[in-house]
Amino acid sequence: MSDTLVTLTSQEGKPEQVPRRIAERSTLLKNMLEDVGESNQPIPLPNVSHKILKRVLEYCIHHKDDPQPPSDDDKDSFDSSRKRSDDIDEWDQKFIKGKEEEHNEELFQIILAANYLDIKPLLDLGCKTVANMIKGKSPEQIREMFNIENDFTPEEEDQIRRENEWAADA
Amino acid sequence: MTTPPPIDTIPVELLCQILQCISTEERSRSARVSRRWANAVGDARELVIRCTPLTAAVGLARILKGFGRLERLELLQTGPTEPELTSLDLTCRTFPGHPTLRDITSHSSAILQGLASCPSLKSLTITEDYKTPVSHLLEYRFNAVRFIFRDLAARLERLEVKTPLVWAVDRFTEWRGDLEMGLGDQDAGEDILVIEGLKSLTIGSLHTESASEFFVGYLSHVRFPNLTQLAMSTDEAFIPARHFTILSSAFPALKVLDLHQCVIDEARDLETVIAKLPLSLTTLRLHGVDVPAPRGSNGGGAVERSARRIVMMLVRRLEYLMELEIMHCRFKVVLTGSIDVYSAGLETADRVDNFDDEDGVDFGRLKKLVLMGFGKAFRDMTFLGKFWGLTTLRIDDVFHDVGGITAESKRLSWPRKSEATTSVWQFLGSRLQKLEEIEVRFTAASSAEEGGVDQVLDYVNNYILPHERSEGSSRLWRPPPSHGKAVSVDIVKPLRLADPAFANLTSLSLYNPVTISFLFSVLYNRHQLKNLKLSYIPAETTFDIEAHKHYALHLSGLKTLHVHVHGKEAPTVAKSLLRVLTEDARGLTFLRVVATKPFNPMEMSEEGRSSAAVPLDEEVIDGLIKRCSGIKTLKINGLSLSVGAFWRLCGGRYGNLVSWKGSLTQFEVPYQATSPYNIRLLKAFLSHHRLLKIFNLCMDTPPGSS
Repeated sequence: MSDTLVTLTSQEGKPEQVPRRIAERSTLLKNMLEDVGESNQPIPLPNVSHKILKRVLEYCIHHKDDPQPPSDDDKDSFDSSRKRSDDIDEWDQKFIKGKEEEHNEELFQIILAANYLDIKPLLDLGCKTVANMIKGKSPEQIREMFNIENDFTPEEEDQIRRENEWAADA
Repeated sequence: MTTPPPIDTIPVELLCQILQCISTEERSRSARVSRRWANAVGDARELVIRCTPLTAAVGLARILKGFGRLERLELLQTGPTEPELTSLDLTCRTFPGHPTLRDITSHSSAILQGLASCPSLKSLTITEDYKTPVSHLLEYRFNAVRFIFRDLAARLERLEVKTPLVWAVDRFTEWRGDLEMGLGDQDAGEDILVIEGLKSLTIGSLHTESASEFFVGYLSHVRFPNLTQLAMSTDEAFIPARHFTILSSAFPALKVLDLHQCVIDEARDLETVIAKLPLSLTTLRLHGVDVPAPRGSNGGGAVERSARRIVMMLVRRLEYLMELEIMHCRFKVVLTGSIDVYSAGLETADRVDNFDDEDGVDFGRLKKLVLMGFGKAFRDMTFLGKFWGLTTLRIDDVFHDVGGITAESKRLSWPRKSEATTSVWQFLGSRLQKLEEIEVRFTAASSAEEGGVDQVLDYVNNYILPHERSEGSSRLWRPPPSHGKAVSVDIVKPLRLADPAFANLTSLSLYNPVTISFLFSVLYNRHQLKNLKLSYIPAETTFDIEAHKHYALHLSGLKTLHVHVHGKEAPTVAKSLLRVLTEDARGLTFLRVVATKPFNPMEMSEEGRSSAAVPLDEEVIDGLIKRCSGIKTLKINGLSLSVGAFWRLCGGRYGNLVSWKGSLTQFEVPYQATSPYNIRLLKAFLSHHRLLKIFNLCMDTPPGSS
């Protein structure tokens, strides 16, 4: 049963066939498949472009044998492990880097897809990668890197600066 | 064209999740990027505040105003000095409470008053020590102990309090305020306070008096129907054994009990204490606890007898027990009317000691067993064979070759050569096949220079090499039948093949493995091994493993490796071992290599020269970089690093080697006056490794020796 193929249809309407086991890396698809039962109906994914779907599946195939992350209900809600962004493994690092020239855009699309499809480890990977890009940069450098417009008035920015002064060496 | 910048295509919640991965300081700085980012920062669910004069001046009321949806807050001290502790105290005093906080950790109890205004609070941790200022306790109009253990506990799921000065100022006996507290003889049933929600309670830094008050003044009047975990640590407090009966009534669902650093008192023997433990326990951890010895013990005797009796008694009595840890406990022989005699190794009369024919006890349910710090060596570990379900075993002071086991290994027609060194291992391997995590510390007594590295070549030639030639022969091996049955004679010379024992072993720690050949036989073909720690590998003579190029252990799954070689020739042996162990370890992320020599004043002059003669050179480092490309932590002690090797770590002489540039975060290397790593080299290194967080240059040679 886990070897049955599932058809996923991307934004562009292009079908992509994957073993059910791979598709089930996505909690969204897993729940859907469980609800639907045996069915050959393709599953439409209108929020995911074909290019990104292929990338996401590449990740799922590489991580097919990983243990499923504990669902939020099972997990001890007072798990004290803090998020770190420096523990990304080598394959993941290479994977998320992708092609240099499209890096930024693709990265955020992968994050969005991982969020939509509910693939927790991939979402974490994406978030950590962006966090690592932000680390050690000034607000100006961050704006430059992500092409963000500063919509603060100088007074507002100054106020934010003052409001956050307490954290200077925190 | 006004397509939004890609980062603005993601919703604020996700931006918030990204910002959760960076430090508080970085996060507040990034609030200045744009309005959207400021929103995302303020949307945070978790916040860690290190308390400084700045946070004290601004006050938590103002700080927290910017974080309307916080669920988790940590208030940490920045250091142990008086000004730092004052900042902590002053900051925490300003805690006003927060509507959405679920989980608070604080290094000061000065937040207590604010906790009354935290309606969503479910988990609380307060950790203080004797230096933390507590003047707020004197200012409160309420009893802090009562507030924590009655008012707060009733709303929480998890409570952890280690606050020695809180117990010193406010008492458990006054926890009910108006009620007159008698010690014990109250009308039971009527006044019992039921605390439904609490699932886990950790209480620390009790002293004899407060511990007693906690049991008698508090626990005897409370019931926690849903609490499954209790951890208690005291500062060597004396706890009368009879208090432990209170646990069963106060915690009817208790599963996990941790006791740290206390003295169980007022009991004649261990049996009395065990009889008082809650029967529902699945996990029992005793760390640094003084307990009366089993009945009939006298002062001397073999450690395994007492260990065995203690373990057996606990497993028999607590019928749900799955994890048992006994670490650095003392078992005290109680002599009537005279002084107590402390002894870890206890003799027991053999007739009481005979559990071998026991039926009906499910020994297989025990999953984890830790027996450390009994103070004397285990001669006979055969009793461990009963626990065939174990997945974790940690044990120290073990002999390699033990009486009871040698007989067994003879029966199995074990290869003569390695018999002395593999017997314990083989015994465990034949009986405890489910082990995934093993730590065995062999006694120093048995590590005399017997055999040593001389056996290695013999071993390589006789066992490993024939196997290398005969493909796939490891499949021929059949696992021995499970415990209790005779092992078939099929396994003749199994050392030719991969060591068949422990197919699921992922973590191995060996301390003082007598010979390297023993080590190799244990490690050969362990693809599944992830963590390996080897301490005190003997190195009295050199051996040139480089001469055996085709030699490999195939440790392809290794993630962390810790190698410590000890002996006259430690640097040389360490260097050789390094190659053999890392040969297939492509995924290695942590590597620590240590070489130590026995201290001998006669050799002092020679020592400097001989260790400089075997530095880790370019070849070694090149090989490591090529094989294990993802090393994050590299620590080298007692071995020099040649200047050329250091250049390799800076990207090679020509700057084009990968050299862990994208991975190395921690690096430790000895500093040598004889071949100084000059400033240029260090600069090159630091500018090459941008991810580096910790860089230690250690003094290797004793001051004044050169």
